[in-house]
Amino acid sequence: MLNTFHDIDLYKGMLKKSLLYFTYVPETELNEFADIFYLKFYPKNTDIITPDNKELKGYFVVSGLVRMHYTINNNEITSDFRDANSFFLNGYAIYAQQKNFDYFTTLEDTICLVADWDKVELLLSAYHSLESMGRKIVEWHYAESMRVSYNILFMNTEERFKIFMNERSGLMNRVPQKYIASYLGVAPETLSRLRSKIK
Amino acid sequence: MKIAHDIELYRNRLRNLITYFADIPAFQMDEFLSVFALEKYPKKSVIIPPSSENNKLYFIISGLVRIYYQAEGKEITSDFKEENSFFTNGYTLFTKLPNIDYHVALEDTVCLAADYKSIELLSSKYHEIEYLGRKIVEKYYATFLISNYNKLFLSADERYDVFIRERAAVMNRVPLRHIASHLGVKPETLSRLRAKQQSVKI
Repeated sequence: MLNTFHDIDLYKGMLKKSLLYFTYVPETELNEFADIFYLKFYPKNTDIITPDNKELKGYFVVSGLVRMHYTINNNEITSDFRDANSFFLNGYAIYAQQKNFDYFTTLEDTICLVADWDKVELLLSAYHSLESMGRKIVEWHYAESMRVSYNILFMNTEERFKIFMNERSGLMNRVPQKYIASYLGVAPETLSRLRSKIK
Repeated sequence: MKIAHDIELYRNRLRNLITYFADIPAFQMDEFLSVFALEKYPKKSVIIPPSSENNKLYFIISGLVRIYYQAEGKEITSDFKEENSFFTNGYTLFTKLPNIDYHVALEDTVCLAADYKSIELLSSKYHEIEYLGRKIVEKYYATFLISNYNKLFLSADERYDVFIRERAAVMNRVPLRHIASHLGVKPETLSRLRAKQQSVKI
């Protein structure tokens, strides 16, 4: 991965396209924002963020796959996944100024564009359009967290599995089944049964 | 008894809270405050029901609001909102999906309320108001994250300690069964926790 040629302009193009999904930002300001991001490579099975992480950064996945997980009562729980064209950050540290308890670990060799959060804040303060984008991004994060919580509370296993297949079927062949089972809150045998039933 | 409502006084209270989040120029602040109007809700009234199209941001001047949802035939209290706090139909506002929760007045409640569209217009007009909006959303997201963490990692005793430390004022105003539900414990367990606290004090 380190020795491969990387087209950073292409990657920044992907980043800008994903940002425009949230709100319109004029090109010069969008380019200035994209320029604070730098390339980072994370081999498979690398912890990008660990508990009590103190580095405040925002991440954009160019390629690869990241698993979010935490341990409670000696059980490892998978809380989410991030693949290409998605963002992640340490919400506890950045928004709540609290210690985070979770890991962000690569399931494949992963390429990210990374920005230091203090530089993000500086640019959001400098440009109204970027401030608006920043607000919509945090609203999106909040919305996703609420949606996941509500799905766990109000949907049965089969419904959650169907949503997963509708929205994230591409992950099924890339993620070890035990992690998908954990994400859905079921035993691996139950996941096998659900998969057979859908077929 | 009819109470005279001093809207300017109420708007000043909102002004004071906003200054905690951001430094807003006076003329923008006046424009922002002017989109808020007085709304009154008697005790037990439903301010926001499930599947609501309510798109207002509320600021509580006086009173108390309980947020709860039904799950498996039980009422689960997710939060309480008292004076000087905001509430809104956040789930629908941010996810565009129907909300399943109720926002109910536990006491006669007086609010300032603004249509979210008016606030969005002001956010588009002024960078500082946009910044204010982001900081308020970040704060409420942070509260959500911390609440999740507490539910996952703290014991009932610890969750009770946190509640007493941070929400002591609510304790005396809310029926104990709602507090028990909010802490995820049975009412008997809450009684035990309260007794334990009392004996520690003695």
